[in-house]
Amino acid sequence: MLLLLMFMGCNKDDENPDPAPDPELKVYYISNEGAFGYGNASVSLFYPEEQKIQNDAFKQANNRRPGDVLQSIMVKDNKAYLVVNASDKIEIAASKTLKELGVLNNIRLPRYMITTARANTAYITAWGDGGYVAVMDLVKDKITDTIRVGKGPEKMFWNGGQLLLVANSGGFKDDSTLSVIDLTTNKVQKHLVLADNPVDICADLQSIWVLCRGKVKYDGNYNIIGHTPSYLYHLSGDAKVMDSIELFADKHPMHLEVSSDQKYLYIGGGYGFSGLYRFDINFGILETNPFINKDFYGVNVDPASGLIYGFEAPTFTASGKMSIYSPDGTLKNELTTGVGPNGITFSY
Amino acid sequence: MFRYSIFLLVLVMALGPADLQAQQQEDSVSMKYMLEPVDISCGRFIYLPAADIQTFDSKFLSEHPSEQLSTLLSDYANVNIRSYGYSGLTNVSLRGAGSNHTAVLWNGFNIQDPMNGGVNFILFPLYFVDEVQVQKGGSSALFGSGAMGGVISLNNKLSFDKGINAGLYASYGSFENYKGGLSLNLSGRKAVFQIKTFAGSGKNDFPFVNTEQFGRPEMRQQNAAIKQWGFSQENAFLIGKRQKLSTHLWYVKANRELPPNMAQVSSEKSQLDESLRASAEWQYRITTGSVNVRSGLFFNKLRYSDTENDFMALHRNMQSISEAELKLQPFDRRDHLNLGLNFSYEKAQSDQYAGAPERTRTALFASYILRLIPKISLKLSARDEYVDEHFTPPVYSFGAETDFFGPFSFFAKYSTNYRIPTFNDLYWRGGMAKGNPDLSDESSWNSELGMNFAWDKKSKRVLTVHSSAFYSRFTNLIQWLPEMGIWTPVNRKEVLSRGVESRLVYNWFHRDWLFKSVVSYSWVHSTLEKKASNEPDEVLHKQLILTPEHQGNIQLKLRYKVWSFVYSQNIVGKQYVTSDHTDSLSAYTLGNIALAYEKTGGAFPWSIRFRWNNIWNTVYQTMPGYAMPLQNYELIVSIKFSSKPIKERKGKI
Repeated sequence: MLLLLMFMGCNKDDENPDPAPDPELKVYYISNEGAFGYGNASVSLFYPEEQKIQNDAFKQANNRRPGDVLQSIMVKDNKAYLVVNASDKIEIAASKTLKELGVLNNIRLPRYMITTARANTAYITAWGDGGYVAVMDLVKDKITDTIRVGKGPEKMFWNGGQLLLVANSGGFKDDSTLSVIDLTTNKVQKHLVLADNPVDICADLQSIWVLCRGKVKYDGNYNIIGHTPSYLYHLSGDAKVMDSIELFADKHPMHLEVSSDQKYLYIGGGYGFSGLYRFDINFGILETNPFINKDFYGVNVDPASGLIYGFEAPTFTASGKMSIYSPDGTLKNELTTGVGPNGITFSY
Repeated sequence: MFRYSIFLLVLVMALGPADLQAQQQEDSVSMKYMLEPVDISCGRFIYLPAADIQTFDSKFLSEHPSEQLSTLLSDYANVNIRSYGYSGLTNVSLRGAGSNHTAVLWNGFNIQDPMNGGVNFILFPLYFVDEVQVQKGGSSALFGSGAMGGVISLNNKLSFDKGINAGLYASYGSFENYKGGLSLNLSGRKAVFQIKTFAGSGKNDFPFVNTEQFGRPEMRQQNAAIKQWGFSQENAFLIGKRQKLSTHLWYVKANRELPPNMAQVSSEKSQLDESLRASAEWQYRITTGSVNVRSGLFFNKLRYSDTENDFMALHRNMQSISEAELKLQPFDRRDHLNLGLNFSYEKAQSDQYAGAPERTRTALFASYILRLIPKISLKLSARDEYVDEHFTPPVYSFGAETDFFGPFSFFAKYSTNYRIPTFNDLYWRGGMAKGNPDLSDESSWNSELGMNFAWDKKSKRVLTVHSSAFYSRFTNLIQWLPEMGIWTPVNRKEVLSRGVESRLVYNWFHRDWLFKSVVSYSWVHSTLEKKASNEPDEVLHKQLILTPEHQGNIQLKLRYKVWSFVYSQNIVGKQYVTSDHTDSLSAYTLGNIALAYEKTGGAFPWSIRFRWNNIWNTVYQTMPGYAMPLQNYELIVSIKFSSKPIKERKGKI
């Protein structure tokens, strides 16, 4: 018994085997949600030139975790903004070292963050309080305004001019609108009514694309009684609906990316969706078979290299996985991430 | 702090070996041989190896009237506690099994919640309990579904011929914790009447450094207040020379705020729990044994609300349990036969269920103790249960004990066990989750070898040592998995659990002095052997999350006349948070001190106790991200009134 207790006393923590971040290397940022309620979100740094990953980098830099459910990361002016959903906050850290610089609290269930041409300003989607976009002053690190939009505002897209598009995904319920914000006034200019639950937005050289995931319909006993289809909406640069294409009658993708050569849209990923599909922009055709047959929780395309980054988070009690594919769909590398990886932020 | 722990352990070991002796009378936290054939509440434990059971008697419990049951189990029984903060929800786990693999018996009834299989420990105030017993290892053949990791038994024991007894206690603790209780017991030759009530409230706004927030701010815990009260009323009657009738009624209500994780800055979550338990037992002695019939009704209500996210859920359930047992000693005073029939009805209501699911359960069980030769006894038990329209797999247990070798005795045990799915597993709907009505029962087998050493030198120096090793496999475990975007439970997981438990108790008496030491240690290696399809291979054969491999306790007590001093040290090893072991909670050890002045004898015995908890200011967590308090204090004053026993007062009652 004594020996066993002594053994127990010698059982030291063996965490943090990874080295500290190297500030000289080009680096991308992977957001690992962690398990809801456990506060074990993490940031993995990926060094694309060396094809190496450093997990738990924020904790190594600061001896603490970023919070509960890291939804996304934005990098701007040598700062990394960590959007921590269940902690209702934005953590601000030095982008090269991830050393903590500050925090912005009391944003209700924040999701994504974006900047526009407007100097020192960022926009943050937040699911709380019925759904709003918070306007953040990046110098004072303060919220200066809030703009009420639809339910569950998710991804945003800046059209390069005076418009900011917000996909109202429904959040915990349903919505079917896209809010168009006039950046000169920070007011909603109009709500476009699309199909059920718009979740993601991207653009090719000429136009904007919006993915509406549709929804599963349940009866009172949570038996599936039907679906509304997922749709792809085609918008002009000034946010006018030009066309819509039905994608899947009974499947509900969460992510929309454009290939670096602007020829294809990648559609797929998200909770409960299997496969990543390719949509030919020129011919307006969705390929029948999955381009990559994996269950991705998140997916991103590096606009510079065209590489496709898929993230698997099969369970939120163990590490996830990042797979890297060349534009033709060939698997190039697989790496272990933190718990619940949902996306990568590219920085140059 | 581990160095302190090792030092203390070495000290205790050094004090011990010279004088080895067994005793029970002063050992209120003892391993007892329970051979009372007519004790209704705990009688079935006799069909397990005696050393398997740890008992906390009424004297010990009276020294801890304000303590929470989960704290007691953690401090003195090496039970793994998973607590979501100081006032938050608390689960227990025995031998690496899940929290719903521990059967909790209340006066003999297995009252695991039919909705989630757990038990809410805040609804069991220690002030109402006369005896707590902890039995580790599977024992479904005796206690039915859920007794896969072990059993925690809470008993009320009413004694006749004790006269009039009344009691009062009041306590004040750190963070504005106020508690108090009153009791009255009228005990005659043929009848006993007892009533108890208690109330408590606490703000629990303890200070802590939030290491998960920018700037590591010093904060006070928010949203952690608790209010609770309850009463119990119990009676016992002797009818003639052969019959005994007893009744128990408990009502407990607790309203508590649920504190936030350190990674969250606020919480507006709260939970109201309400429980009403009522039972009646009739016992009839026959020449070679007894007939016991008991029936109980149990109502539970839980209301969870999260005003921040505009969410509220109300769950209610009812259980009716009736049991009849025939206990016989057919051939010899040392042989015991028990035949029993259990009938249960369960019903639940929840916004998360369609309708109000209900089920009936009927179980037949039998046990036998056979003494082939005087120093070897064999203990056999079997059970089968019919639940709605199917039979559960028959389960059995086999135990053997021998005390051939002087102060040494040995035992072996093998059991098969089961757990039926809960209503949540079967009928849940909502929150992107859906129950599965086609689930099968979980099952396990458990084997165990143990040794006892008992040595007593003229009752002055006493040592008992208990050691056991166990090996268990849990199969068909229910696991919730995503399917088409909806979480649903399936029978999938397999867990292998093995380990060693040891316990040493040494007492030294000299005139007015008593020195007592208790050292216990458990090593539990509980690993996942069959995983779900969505889990990576890395999780296989690894220690389960939130299950410490090592756990230990040390208590040192020094008593001189009316003064006593207790130092205790609890040690909990590293616990993994992720199943592939990429994240963990650090090991921790807590030191506590208790100082007491206890005036016994006379009509008004009284005591004053001071408890100083976490004296080394250990920063620790039992669930990831949930802050626990540093140093905290409690002052407890209790006074009793005790009349002379009735037989000495000649006809006053």
